[in-house]
Amino acid sequence: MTIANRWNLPDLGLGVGLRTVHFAHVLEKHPNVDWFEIISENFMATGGRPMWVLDSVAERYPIVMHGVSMGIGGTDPLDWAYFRELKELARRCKAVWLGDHVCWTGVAGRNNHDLLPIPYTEEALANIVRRIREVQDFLERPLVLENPSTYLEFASTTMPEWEFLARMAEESDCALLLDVNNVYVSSRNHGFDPFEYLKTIPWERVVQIHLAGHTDHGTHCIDTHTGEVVDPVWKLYAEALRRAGPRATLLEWDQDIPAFDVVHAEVKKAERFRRGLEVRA
Amino acid sequence: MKLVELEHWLQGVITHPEGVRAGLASAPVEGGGRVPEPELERVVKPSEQLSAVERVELYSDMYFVRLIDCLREDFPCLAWTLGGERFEKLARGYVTACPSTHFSLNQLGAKLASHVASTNVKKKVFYGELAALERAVQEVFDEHASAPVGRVELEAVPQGDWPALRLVTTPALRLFAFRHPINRFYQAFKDDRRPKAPSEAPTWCAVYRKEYQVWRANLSREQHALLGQLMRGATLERALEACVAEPGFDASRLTSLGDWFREWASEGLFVGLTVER
Repeated sequence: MTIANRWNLPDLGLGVGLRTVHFAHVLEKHPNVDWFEIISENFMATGGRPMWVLDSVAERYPIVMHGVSMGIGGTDPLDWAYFRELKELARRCKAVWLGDHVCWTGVAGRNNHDLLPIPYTEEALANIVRRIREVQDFLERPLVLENPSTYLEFASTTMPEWEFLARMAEESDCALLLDVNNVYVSSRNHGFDPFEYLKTIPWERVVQIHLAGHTDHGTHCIDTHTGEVVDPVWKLYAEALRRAGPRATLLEWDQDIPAFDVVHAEVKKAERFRRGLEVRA
Repeated sequence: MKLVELEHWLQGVITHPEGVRAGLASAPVEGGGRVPEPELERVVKPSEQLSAVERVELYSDMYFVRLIDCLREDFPCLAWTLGGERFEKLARGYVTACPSTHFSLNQLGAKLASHVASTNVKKKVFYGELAALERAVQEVFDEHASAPVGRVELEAVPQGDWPALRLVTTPALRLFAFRHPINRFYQAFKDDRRPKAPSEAPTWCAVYRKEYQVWRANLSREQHALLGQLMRGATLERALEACVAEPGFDASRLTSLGDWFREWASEGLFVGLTVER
């Protein structure tokens, strides 16, 4: 089954996160990767070589912007200087879409540089929906928001994360980035069925899927973006594609980053799931 | 707890420098109360494997590890010179005293040099100067800069216009007057020569970017003084007048003025020029 996304945003194929250690390889070898995702903030506070690299990469490849500091679930006033810079960067690199995470990053003017969990309550839902709408109006495009990995749950939570996401997306008219590794990590940390999670996702709003490795500490899992994607995550990916059809898919690898070809080979493993869809179609 | 109170509370707990238990004892909730450890489950659910405290500690541990790692990456020479434990203590104190308020981690270390000066660390002047140099390397790397004025363009300025010449220096330039030979020490570290902390000896240097690469150049006291005046927007005539009036300035060095400007232009230190009429 293939469900077009609500905005007809393209299935970009298989992408890789653009990281500093791969800059030289990407510029010299022009690898046969379909697209790149950037961490927005890494290119917002610089006018030096990273910006020159991005300009060069954007001439050859589609770029998607994925931020970590928007704090859309926060309670501080929205930082419009930040959003102006974000919008300018999106214009400059012709970002196909841009987004961030369903989280907060700090309060009282601070940035903890973490994707902090929000309680899944009516109050938090109303807060995030209002903020998403304001930001989307300013950016003149939908935000693509990702489900985070979380390591704690609040006692005040009144609905499961998947219901919160679905309602948030519907009420704010935003798009979703489904990180299947995060679904797995959170399912391990909180003891829910990850396939149950996928049942409630509004697939017509999902424009991108993330894959990544994580660290399993036995008592809990941490989303470290290191190593290969594990089988249970591939199973979730297959299930996501079964429900949604092909979606732009990206592999994140941020710790102990190996050579570009290793990262690229890892995301290309997703081909077999995508091909399976084509065969069925 | 309302959402805003919950966020204030959690941030207070996970960023407490002495850990979550100390954070629980001090982070206020509505009305100035606390959530004592035995009552934490009223706010955070335990999992089957971890207690509520342990779950909050995951965020607290990651907060300090992430920010200290970032500082270690941005200040490798300072970290090596201080050694692991002392650097970690300094960094932990720093992120507590000067928490990040910027969306980019590139800005995290912006105040580290001045923080070092406010501590009781031995040789804090040396460490502060080292931190300032390493910070400058990062700032210059990220600075927005325009196309430089080339040597040919500079040499085309008629001789009679030079006194009224105002040169705009690149934003990707930082000047330093150090009490220690910091640049030499830093270079020895980069060359893996494991240098010892040097004795005091005044030095001057420039950190700048040329074609996306960061460079460091030792300067004479006179070059430092003149570039400093030009950075502040003085015309060449006024800059020279101010330099000559500085104590310790050796005016005989000005016989090399032409060479200095040719070199600085070649290195891309100027991005604009005007002649004041």
